[in-house]
Amino acid sequence: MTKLKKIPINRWIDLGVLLFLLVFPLFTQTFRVEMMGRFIAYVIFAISLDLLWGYTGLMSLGHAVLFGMGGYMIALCYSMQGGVPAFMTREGINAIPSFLVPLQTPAVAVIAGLLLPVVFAFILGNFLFRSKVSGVFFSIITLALAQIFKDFIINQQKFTNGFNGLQGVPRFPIDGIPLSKIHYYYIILLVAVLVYLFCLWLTKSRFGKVAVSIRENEARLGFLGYKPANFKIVIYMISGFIAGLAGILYTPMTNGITPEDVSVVASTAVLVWLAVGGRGNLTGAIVGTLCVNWAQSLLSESFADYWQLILGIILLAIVFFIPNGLVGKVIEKQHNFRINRKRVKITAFNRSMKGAEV
Amino acid sequence: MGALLEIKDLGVDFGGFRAVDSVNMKIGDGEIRVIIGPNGAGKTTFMDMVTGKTRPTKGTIFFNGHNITGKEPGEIAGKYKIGRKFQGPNIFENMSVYQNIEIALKGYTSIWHTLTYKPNTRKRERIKAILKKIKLYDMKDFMSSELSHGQRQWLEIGMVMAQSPKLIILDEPTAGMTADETHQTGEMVKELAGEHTIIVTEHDMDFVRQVANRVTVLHQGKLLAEGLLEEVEKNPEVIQVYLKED
Amino acid sequence: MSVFMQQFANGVNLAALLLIAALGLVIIFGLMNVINMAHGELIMIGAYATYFANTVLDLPFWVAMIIAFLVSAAVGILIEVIIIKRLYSKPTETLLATFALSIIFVQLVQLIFSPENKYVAMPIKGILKVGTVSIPNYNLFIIAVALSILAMTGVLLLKTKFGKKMRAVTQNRQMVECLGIATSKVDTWTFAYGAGLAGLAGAVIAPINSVSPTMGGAYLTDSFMTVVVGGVQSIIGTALGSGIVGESRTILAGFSNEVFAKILVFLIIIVIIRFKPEGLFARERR
Repeated sequence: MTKLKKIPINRWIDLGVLLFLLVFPLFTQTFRVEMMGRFIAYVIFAISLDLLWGYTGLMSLGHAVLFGMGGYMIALCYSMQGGVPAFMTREGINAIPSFLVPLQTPAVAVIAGLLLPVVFAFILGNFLFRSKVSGVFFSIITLALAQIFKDFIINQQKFTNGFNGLQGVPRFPIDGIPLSKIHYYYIILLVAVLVYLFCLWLTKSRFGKVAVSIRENEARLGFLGYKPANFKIVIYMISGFIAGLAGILYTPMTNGITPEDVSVVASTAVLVWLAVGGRGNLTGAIVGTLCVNWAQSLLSESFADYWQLILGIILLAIVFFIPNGLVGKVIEKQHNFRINRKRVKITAFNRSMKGAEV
Repeated sequence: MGALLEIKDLGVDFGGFRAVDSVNMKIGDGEIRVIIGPNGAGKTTFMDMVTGKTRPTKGTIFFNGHNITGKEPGEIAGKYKIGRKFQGPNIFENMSVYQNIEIALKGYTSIWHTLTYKPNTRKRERIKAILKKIKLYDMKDFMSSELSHGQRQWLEIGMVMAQSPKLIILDEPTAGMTADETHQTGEMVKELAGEHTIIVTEHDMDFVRQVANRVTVLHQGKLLAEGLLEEVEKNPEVIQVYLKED
Repeated sequence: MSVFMQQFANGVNLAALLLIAALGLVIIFGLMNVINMAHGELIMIGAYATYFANTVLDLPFWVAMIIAFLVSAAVGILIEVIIIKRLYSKPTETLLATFALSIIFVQLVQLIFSPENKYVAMPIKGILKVGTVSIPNYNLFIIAVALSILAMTGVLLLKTKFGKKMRAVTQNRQMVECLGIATSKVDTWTFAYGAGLAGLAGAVIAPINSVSPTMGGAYLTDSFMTVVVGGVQSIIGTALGSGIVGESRTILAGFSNEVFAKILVFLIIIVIIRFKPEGLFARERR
């Protein structure tokens, strides 16, 4: 029983959310299941940023780029299933280019969608983390990256269909029949649970403690014999993998992907979800993502024009009043409660000892 | 007892300002050497060069026969096993006392090792032994942010011990401590010697008296005097520059 | 060759624009060490102030420029007092808060002025022809403005009492406070000056393309890139950095297209940061 007491409260929240998500399709309409499925893919995306930012302190303002790499790979794959797609023939390409041919196989596209962000993170990480630049520069570079990547996608319209993005991405058809929305929902949920468990293991391990220590006191780690740059690169790669995975799952659920999904706005959104929910505990990523996205869905029907403004104000308020996010606040309350309980016990113990002395 | 650390003509020039100038030093295996000198004498800069934080502009540093001049701090700490405790307590406030020692354990600092690390009895016993030596065993599950200043200094000494270094450098370990804590720290340091070689920079003369084998006096970047504390205390130059100003 | 010459001439223009935009940033980021993610929006606000003064109220362009400077400076004071001051020494929070502000500003402007592009008429028309190279007269004006602002900032920092206070606070805040100077006020006015410069940039940029609520974003990253290349604490470095970034981007764009030019320059900047993180022209740090 004492072991159960030691479990931090946010793990109970995680369990509660999981149970809710498991039964969700049983009492809601299909189109809401579809939305929730999308949001769970977003949760995976948010968890990837939590590893990078929440735990390790590296604030990426362009994380949607890694998400989009995964999404575009799978979208490109299905665009080429019926031969050369229209956006290529429009630009005078009449046969699928050789470097894209392997992508016609979904399995290859999935692997590409997972590896591309990893390789990218490896290269960028080697440049940024090995030099002695501060965290601010990482944020600025990733911001520039987000702007450039979106421009690049739009510019390369002969491969990406530019502004309109790639549509008509089915839910991983087997023998030509796409998975049902409900089945796909549960697949996304399963993957999310696996990702969650992996990240839980990772963050609780020595590796995870090193990550947090990089955020808190990187210089000290160097003197203990660690090489923080290597850790940052590996964390960025893992984060990239999970972000790419999120993109791959997301795209068939929304039927497609557009340059908006890799833009600065998309990268900002995930930052807001984490800020609202709380960083560095995984639960915040889950709660923040689901709450903000559902609020957005329900409110933007009535407040369409004002939604971004409201988001900005919420973010500002969070920074000032609840800097650790909603879950962070809950964890803080539990921690204070436990400390006070300990104090009461120690005081009582001391009093009893004093009584014994006299 | 050969010289573990041999420093020849070491110096560093910061745009015209010679923080350390032509210092020669030999420190034997198992010795406790205390470096004293007024503020600005170059003690910390000297340590910075031995641990790799600052690159010397002249001279050499030989450790255990290896030339470590100008190498990176991570390499000096990991490969050559020189552990350093900084002036201010520099601990990980996000972790408990126990975890601070655990993360400092030598041999588990590569990415592979951090992923495959499994706490076992041997490791636990090692950590507990260190915690007992630094008198923080009872506080082991407290967050390190809850420790007093003196306790944080001890925690840091513990972290340095966990690195199993050959040479331990202590930068003003008793700064901010009460007289009682200072004395306890002195006992800790004496216990460490023999198995480890220790260099301490200090201002507190009682502490110096308690622990020192030999004493080196730095002044304005140069070596002013060296020898047993009693000899150095009687050196007229030292008295004029340092002890009298105290 | 003539393509190169034309692109070079155009590049000077972009360099001058980058300089004006980045100068405000180097004051705030370089001197005060404050990360202001709303810098692009301060430029945008200056552009809208110019639109309002010049197109709507029909005031002369040079009056609109002054108004743009003042409006952005005023917004800067508000930002500094209400937000930056409270989050001093918390860089993550400052970044997030100013990021939130940038979203809020864009949305507010969109609500007040509508999301459509607005236009400011070109105040100086005509083209100068030098050999095969054509230079719009307005470009010369921009270059003149850039150089004047550079000179003005230099005079402010080096010759005025306030400038001395600014530099002192950068170097040793505690000492300045011990001398009885209210560093808090110095911070506010420094930020205001940086913000005002951003507004001025907006005014100058307004006639070139159009004025839209989202125009600021690109200038934010461009300004940071320029400052990073030149050296974060160096004003001369920023000037030279803007020259390098502006020229390379324009010349490369002349030979390929704009997007590839941006990508290439971005890659070059990353390589520069890797090997010289303090910037190309910064004084060597310990």
